[in-house]
Amino acid sequence: MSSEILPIVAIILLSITSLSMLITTDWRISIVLISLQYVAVFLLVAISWPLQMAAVKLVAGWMAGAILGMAVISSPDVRNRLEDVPSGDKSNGNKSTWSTFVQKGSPFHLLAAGLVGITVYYLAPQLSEWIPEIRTIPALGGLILLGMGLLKLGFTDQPLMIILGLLTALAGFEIIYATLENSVLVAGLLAVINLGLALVGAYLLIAPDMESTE
Amino acid sequence: MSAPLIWIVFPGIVAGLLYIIRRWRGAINIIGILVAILLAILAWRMPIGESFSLAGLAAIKIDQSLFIFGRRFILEDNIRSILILIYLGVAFWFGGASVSDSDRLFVPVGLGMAALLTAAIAVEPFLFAALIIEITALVSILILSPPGSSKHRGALRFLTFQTMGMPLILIAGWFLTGVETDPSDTDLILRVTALIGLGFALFMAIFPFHSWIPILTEETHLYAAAFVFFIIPQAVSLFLLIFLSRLTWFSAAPTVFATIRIMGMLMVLIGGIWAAFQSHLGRIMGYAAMMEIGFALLALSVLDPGFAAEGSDIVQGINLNTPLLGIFFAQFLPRLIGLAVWALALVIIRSRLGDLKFDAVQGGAYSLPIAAVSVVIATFSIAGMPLLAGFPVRVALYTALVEQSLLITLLSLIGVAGLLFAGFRTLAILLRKTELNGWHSTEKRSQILLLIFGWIILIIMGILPQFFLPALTELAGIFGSPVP
Repeated sequence: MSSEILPIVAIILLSITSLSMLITTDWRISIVLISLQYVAVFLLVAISWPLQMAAVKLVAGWMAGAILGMAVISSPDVRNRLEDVPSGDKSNGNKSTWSTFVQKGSPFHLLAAGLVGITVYYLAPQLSEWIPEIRTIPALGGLILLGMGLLKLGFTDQPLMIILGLLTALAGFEIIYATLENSVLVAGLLAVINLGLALVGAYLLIAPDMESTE
Repeated sequence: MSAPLIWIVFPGIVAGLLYIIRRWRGAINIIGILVAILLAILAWRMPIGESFSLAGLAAIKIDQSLFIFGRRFILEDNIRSILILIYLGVAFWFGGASVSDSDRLFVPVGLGMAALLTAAIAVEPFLFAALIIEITALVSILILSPPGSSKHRGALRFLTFQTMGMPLILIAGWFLTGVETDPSDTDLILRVTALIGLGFALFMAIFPFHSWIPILTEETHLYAAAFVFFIIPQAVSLFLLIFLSRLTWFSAAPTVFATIRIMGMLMVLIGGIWAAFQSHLGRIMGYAAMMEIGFALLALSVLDPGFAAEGSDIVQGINLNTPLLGIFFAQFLPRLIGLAVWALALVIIRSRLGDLKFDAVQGGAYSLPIAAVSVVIATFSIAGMPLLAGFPVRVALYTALVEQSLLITLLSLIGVAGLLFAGFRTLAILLRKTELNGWHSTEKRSQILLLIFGWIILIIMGILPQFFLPALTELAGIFGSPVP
C-alpha cells in the first residue's frame, strides 16, 4: 500500500516545492524548498534503484542546499544583495511582507507553470511509450522538475536562482535516467555534478567580495 | 601502473596541489608548464600496453585501462598522439599565463581541465564523456569568473547550456541501444538524431546557443576566455568525431553530415558577419572563436561517406580517408596559436588602454605596436590569409568542401570575408591618428618576446606548412582502428 502511495506523495511534494520555488524570492525558503524537493526525488528514484543508491541523490541534494545556504549565511554582503534586490526590483523601499517572499508578476509565473503542467500531463504517457522502462509516475515527476527548472532559468538572472533552476532541471533528468541506468559511476558523477553546481553557485555568490588573486 | 593513472589521475592530483599552493604564482606557472611538458614527453616516448625498458633498467609495461566503480577508463597506444597534443597545447597556454597577468587559478584549473578532458576521451562507454565534459565546464567557471569579479552573466549562460546538453546526450545514448536492436525504426532514429543534435549544439555553442561567447569576451579575462573557447569546443568536436566513427547507422543517415555542414557554414557565416560590425576588439575575437567552431564542423562534414571517392576507406559509417580526416586535426595548431596570440595581445591592450571598445583603442598602435600587429596577424591567420598559419589548412578544407557543396563553400567564404573586414577595421582604428600619437612601444620585454614568438610561429606555419601539417594529419591514423 505504502509503496503505491509514496510515489504519489512524491509527485505532490515536488509539484508544490517546484511551484513555490518559482514564485518565491526569499533565499531561505528556496533552500528549504529544494531540500524538500530532493526528498521527493529520492522517493521516485528509489522505485528503480536500491535504497542505498537512491539515498545518494538525497544526500547530494541536501549537501548542495547546505553549501548554498552556508555561502549566503557566511557573507553579510551576499545576504544583503539577495534580500535587497529581488530579481530586478529596484524599488525596495516600502515592501510588504508578501512581496518579500513572492516575486513580482507571480500570476504570470503561475500561468506559465500551468502551461508547463498541462504539457507535462500530456507528455508523461508519451514518454512512457518511448521509454517502456519508465512508469508514468516517475515520468511525470521527472518532466515536472525539468519543466519547472527550465522555467525558473528563464525568469531569473541571479546566480543563486539560476543554480537552483539548474539543480531542479537536473533532478528531473536524474529521476528519468535512474530508470535507464543504474551504474555506480554514473550515480557518482551525477552526484559530483550536483555538488559542483552548488559549489559554483556558492563561489559566484561570494566571488565579488573575494580579494582578486591577480 | 596504468595509462589513465599517468595522464588522468597524476595531472589531476598535481592540479589539486597547485591550487593549494596558488599563493606562489611564479612557482605554479613553472610547475604547471613542466608537468604538462613531462606528460607530453611521456606520451611521446612510452608505448602503452607494450613492455619497454626505461634507461636500460627493468622492463616496464603500462596497462591500458583503469577500473573505477566498475567502469573502464582506457587509453590505448594509438591515442598517444592526442595526449601529446592536449598536454603540449596546455603547456603553450600556460607559457603565456604570467605575461598575460592571468589569475592564479588559471594554471591549476587548466591542468585539471586537461586531465578531465583526457578522462572524457578514455571513459567507457564513451557516452559517459558527456558527464565529464560537464564537470570540466563546472571547473572552468573558476577561471571565467575569477575572485573579485562581479559579472557572471556569460559564465552562467555557458554553464546553463553545458548542463542542458549533458542530459540530452545521455538519454540519446540509452536510445541508441534500441536503434542497434531495430535499425529500421525510423521514428526512433529521428528522435535520437534530434537529441544528439541538440545536445551537441548546446555543448559546442552552435548557433543559437553561442551567446555566451561574446558576453564572456567583455566580462572576463580574455586569455582565460580564449583558453575555454579553444579547449571545450575542441574536446567536444573530438567527442563528436568519436561518436560519428562508432555509430554506423547514425553517420550513415544522409541528413547527419548535411546538418553538420549547414551548421558549420552558419557558424562561419554568422560569426564573420557579426565580427565585421563589432566595435569591440574582444567581441571580434569571440566571433572568430565561433567561426573556428564552424570550421571544425565543416572539417567533420567533409568525411561524408556519400561523397567518398571510389575506393575510399569507408569504415564505421564515415569516410576515413586520412587526408580528409587530417584536415580536422590540422586545424588544431593554427587555432591554438592564433587564439593565444590574439588573446594575449588584447589583454595587453586592455591593461594599457583600459577598454577594448574602438573609441578607447584609437591610435593604440602608436603606443602598443607589437600588440597591435599581433591582433591583426592573429585575425588574418584565423581568417586564412595567405602566408599565415590558417591558410594551408583553409585551402585544404575548401578544396574538399567545394566538391560537396559550392553554395556552402561560398557562404562560408562570405563569413571569412566578414572577419577579414573586421581585421582591416581593427587595423584602421589602431592606426587612427590622434594628437598624442608618436611611435613609442610601451609593452614589457617579456610581452614583446612572447608576441613576436607567436608571429614567427604563425608565419612559419603559413610559409612552410610541410613541417607541421604531416605530423598533425597523421593524428587521423588513430581512427584507422575500430576503437580510437
